[in-house]
Amino acid sequence: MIMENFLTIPEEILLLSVGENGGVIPHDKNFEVVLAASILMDLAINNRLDSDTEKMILVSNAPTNNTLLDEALEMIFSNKERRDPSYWISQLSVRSREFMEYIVASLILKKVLKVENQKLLWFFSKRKYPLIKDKEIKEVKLRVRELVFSNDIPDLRDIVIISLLHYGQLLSLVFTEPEINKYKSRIEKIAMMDLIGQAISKSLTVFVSTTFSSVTKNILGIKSPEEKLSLFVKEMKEKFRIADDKDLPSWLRKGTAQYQKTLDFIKKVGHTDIYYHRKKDQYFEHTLTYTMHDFGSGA
Amino acid sequence: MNKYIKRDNQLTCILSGRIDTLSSSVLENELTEKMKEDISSVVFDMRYVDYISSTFLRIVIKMVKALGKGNFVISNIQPTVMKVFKMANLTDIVKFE
Repeated sequence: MIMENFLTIPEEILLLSVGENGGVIPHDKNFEVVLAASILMDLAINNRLDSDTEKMILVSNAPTNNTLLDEALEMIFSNKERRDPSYWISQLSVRSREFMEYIVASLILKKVLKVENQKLLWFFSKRKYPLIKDKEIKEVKLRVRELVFSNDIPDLRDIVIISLLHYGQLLSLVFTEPEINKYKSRIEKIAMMDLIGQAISKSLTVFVSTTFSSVTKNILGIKSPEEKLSLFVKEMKEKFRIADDKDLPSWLRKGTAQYQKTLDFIKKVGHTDIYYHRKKDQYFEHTLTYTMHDFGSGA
Repeated sequence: MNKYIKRDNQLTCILSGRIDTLSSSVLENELTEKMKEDISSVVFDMRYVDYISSTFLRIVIKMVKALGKGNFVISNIQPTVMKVFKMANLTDIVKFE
């Protein structure tokens, strides 16, 4: 009964943000936290995490052979303190831009997406996945829609995806407003069917209910790179609910050598729409355009 | 340790103790083997079960999905465990006896 899935949950969540004719739909402010939560969900489905009615349980740090999931697994298991899902959503969200790169690379490698003229496109002319062992796997958006509109018993991964979209307030990526209203009860029922799904997804509400400050806008009027970085850190802390500076990654933690490198990069590019890629040990500007070079020769 | 009784096409699984991630994994492997036989309905007898985690609920969903709603039954469930099924909203799709 153990099933190997063609795509990970984070990959399917990212695909929901790729439009019908390619191109990434500008991400909702909740998208990064939903993506982070989806990583925890996938680890749960792969029996690395579990939960009961009260807590999240660390089960196994055996590698999953997926770069993204294993990065997250290493983060979680190397932490000495037992933390709740919201802490991990926060920690993973800070790295969400870096993680998106992993996800896109993997989707290109799996021939679901391709890059043309710096635009991310579906590999096939319509949104679908390649045949796996001559079998067709239904694309996530179609699958989720069909499930909600029917009375079928859901698959576990579809429960998880619906749960993420519901609690992360991203149902509009899949449904129209009238559809959301009409099928509200069915969606809520499905979203509750997995306990860890509930635990993780409910943690999302902490993030999605946050009203962000206008820090980013203010950055435009600020001259010094030091001030820009300081405000960027403040915004990240607020956005991802990081209360303590020690929980910030080193590239955003004042006093570290990496923080100085972050500052140097901001001085070079002149803005803070950037992220640090830990594995590559490099900084990148955040952009919605793509080149094959970004994803390595394998992609 | 789980016990299995097969009568005609029905498999009764007498489960016991805490069903956490590890014991769920054992149960899942055992079920995979048993289901290779000609089984059309399954009963989980849960009189000896006092704890379940999320992983067990996933096995239940897979069983209902594989067998159909009427062909998977949970019997003799304890109130504390039933509470978990209610929390996960699974009482609509699982048949209890």
